[in-house]
Amino acid sequence: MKRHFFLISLSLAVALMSCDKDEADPVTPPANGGKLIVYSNLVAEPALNSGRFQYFRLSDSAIVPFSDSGTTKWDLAFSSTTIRTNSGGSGPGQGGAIVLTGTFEEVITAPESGYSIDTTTTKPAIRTGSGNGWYNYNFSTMIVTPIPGKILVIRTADGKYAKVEILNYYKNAPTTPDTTSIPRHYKFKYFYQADGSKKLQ
Amino acid sequence: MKIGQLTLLLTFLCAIVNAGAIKGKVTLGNDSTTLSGVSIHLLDKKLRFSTDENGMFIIPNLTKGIHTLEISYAGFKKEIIQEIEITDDYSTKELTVNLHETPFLLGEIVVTGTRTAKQLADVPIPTSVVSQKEISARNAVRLDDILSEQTGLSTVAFLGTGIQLQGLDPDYTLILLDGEPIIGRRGGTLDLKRINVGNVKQIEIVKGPTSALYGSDALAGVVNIITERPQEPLSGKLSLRYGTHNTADLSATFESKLENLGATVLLQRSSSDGYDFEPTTPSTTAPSYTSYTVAPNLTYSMDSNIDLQLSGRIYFEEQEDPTVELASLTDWSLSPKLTYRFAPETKLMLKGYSARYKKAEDFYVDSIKSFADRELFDQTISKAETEFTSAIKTSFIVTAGAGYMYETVEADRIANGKQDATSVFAYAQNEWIPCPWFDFVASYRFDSHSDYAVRFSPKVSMMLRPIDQITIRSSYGSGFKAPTFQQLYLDFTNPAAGGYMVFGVVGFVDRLNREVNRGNVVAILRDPKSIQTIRPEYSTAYNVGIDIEPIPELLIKMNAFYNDIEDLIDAVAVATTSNGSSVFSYMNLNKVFTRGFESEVKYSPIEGITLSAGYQYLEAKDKQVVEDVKAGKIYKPTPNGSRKVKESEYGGLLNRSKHSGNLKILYDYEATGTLFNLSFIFRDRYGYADLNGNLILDDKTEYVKGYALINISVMQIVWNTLAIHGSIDNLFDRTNPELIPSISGRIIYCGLSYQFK
Repeated sequence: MKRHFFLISLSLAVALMSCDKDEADPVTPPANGGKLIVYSNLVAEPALNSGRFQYFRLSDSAIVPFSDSGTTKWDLAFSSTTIRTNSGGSGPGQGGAIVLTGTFEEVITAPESGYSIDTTTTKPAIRTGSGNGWYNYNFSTMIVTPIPGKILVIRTADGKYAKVEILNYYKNAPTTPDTTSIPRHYKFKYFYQADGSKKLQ
Repeated sequence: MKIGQLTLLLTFLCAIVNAGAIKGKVTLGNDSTTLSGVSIHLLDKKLRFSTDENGMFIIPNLTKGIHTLEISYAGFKKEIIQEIEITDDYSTKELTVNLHETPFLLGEIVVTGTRTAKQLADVPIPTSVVSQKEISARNAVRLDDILSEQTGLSTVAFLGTGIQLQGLDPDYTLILLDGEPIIGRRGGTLDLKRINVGNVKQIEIVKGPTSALYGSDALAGVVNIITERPQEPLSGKLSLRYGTHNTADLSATFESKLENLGATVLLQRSSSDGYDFEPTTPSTTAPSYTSYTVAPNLTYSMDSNIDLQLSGRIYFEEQEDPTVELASLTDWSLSPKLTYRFAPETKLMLKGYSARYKKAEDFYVDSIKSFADRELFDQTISKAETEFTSAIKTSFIVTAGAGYMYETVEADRIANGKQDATSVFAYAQNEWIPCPWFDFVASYRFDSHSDYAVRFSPKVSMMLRPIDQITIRSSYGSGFKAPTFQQLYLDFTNPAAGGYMVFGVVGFVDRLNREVNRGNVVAILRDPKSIQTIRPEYSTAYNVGIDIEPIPELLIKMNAFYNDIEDLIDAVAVATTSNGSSVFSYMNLNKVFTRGFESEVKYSPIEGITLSAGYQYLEAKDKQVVEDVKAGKIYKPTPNGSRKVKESEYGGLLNRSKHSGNLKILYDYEATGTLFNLSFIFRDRYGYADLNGNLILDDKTEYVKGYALINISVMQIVWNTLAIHGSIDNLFDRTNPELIPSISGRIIYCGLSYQFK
């Protein structure tokens, strides 16, 4: 059933020295104008310790080049554990986010209101810090783990809606990451509603 | 004429002296050996006597009537003789009492549970005793050697070796040395390896909260190490032990008693090379060390009413982890004590206690051996205390005490580098023993500290013996644990790891404002004022137990416990910093419970052989987590997304085994001077970390596999004074280097000891 296809992106290829499997995997066929995607090994921070963000568009699972970071061409941007939305201090878009608790299936519509925006680049809508947003950081093992049951409802740059669940932060999504695992490789699944409605299934 | 007068006078005198009496002799078992110093208690008149050097006693001046005697002696089963009839005012009743040694220490005198001396069989609080015999049968040198084999106790290795009691972490058990608290906990653990058992008479383990007598830290229970008091004119023991990892222990103990003056001293040197499971890394699993203990004790009886005692202990340890760390530890304590007896049953004690724990750790940069950092932790405590005990009636004993304590701490991460605190406390205990088969104790303690909220701790307990073979105990009590120095005074910014900050609760608002003014804070997550007043963590607990002794050779003990702990102090994020990290402080947050039962069966089929089996069932859970799991609010990841955690999946608090226990064989054959001990200790799997990000124990990958260890030791007396001993710990060489690095594999010891009198 699984159909794999590789996204080829120049910036990514340069950043990764072309070794990684970067994949977007539609699990179910698009329904109600929406689609369900599992995306693996999104490299957060294209060049190590550059502080640069990796820009991503939900509608077509595309990596957006840094040169377009000031436009509404991207919806989410990743740098280590920080995720920005295209809003406020981060970008010119209509973006925003709400972090809900539940399973992916339970979130069937996007909330009417209550969306946070990135007031400044250091105060993103998805809060940073262990236990505040989407992840826990264990000080003794130094491992970042997505908090199970955290669903990020995202308002895209053009005001559409999606729900995102981060599944893993390490390369090739190990079940139990350890100190040898390579961090900053997001695996996440998301449902994107293209018709502009708040229906998320 | 003269003779006639004298006879008349003598007859008259005898009539006065002998007017009704009970005369008797106390012997050992059915033997003719007599016992001196046995306590004879005339219950109906509430008078106390004791046997002379020939084992004889006489209770004079008795009138016609029925009398009851209680005859008790340490290590022996108490005898109660009822309905002794004095037929008229001039008759003398003669008796012979045979006391029987208890095989299971039930006659042993214990002092910890009630602060008054009682036979183990009679204490209303669950108590167990580790005897000197058991310590020598195990060839134990350090306290953890012997505590790790006790039912209901598990050793926990975290910044030292501590014990878990009734499912509570090492910081919730108070460790006393002759009734005074040993200080120097790191990460909550008081390292039991620091305490040598060479001069120990017995170890008393009291289970259940005992803060009503001892104050902070006595939530799970109290371990009281009772050292030897001088008995002999001059005697001593020299021992040496050598074993795996180049571990050598040399110890010498001396005791002397001349008239009113007595002295004992323990001298000990220990050293070990340690061991390393990962030779490729610069640090070693267990670093090498050398340690010295000097523990002198002086006693002086000024007259029959005044006793003076001065006990001290100095411990020095140097630990070296080549190329990485050099740590030196100095730890001493001194306790003078004066006891004044107003009457045989009324005494006043004045006690002083002073102790210091200082650890300095020098860290080096790996392989270059250049000095990188020094960490210092220096703690002192000074205490003055007075305690009064009086048997107002023999059935009613009152104990009351009060004291003042001053503590200081000096450490790198402490605000201003140094802090001090004062506290005062007062306690009282009423003990009501209306009859030999019923004992009721109520105690209360009040603790007031300069930096945290006041605490009142009550406790009631009772012992009931409906028939001789059955003893029922039940107690309800409260315990508390003071906030740690870190929780009160920490001022720490991590230069690495994202630059998070942790500030203690004292002066938290000021320190947060300091960071706000420096522009380091971008968002406040909770009201900083809510941090201000921290309360001690506290518990309420129930213990209900039964001892059944169907025949003297068989003892079955059972105790069920429930500990309800509230106001657990945890780190919370109070603000977000500009670098995406957090400012943490401490708050009273969580509630947990531990419940379970323990059971012990001891059987002595023939004299000299004791078989025992112990088992503990334990559940320890966070109440909020139980509720959240029930409500479906906690999730666990699967490769395709999260799902709800099932109630059955929540495994409770980390580090707790649901099942644990031991089987032991002790063979003590006095005829040939042989002592043999075999212990089998097991514990079921236990959680060690959250790996899947939901912060709870719910996945099988988060458990350490259960394990079993077998320890064997033998001692043989070759001449009267010389003994050879050997032991093998962890016979089958079990290890788990990754998850239980504290288990080093098989350890073989052999040694010699020489005893003189």
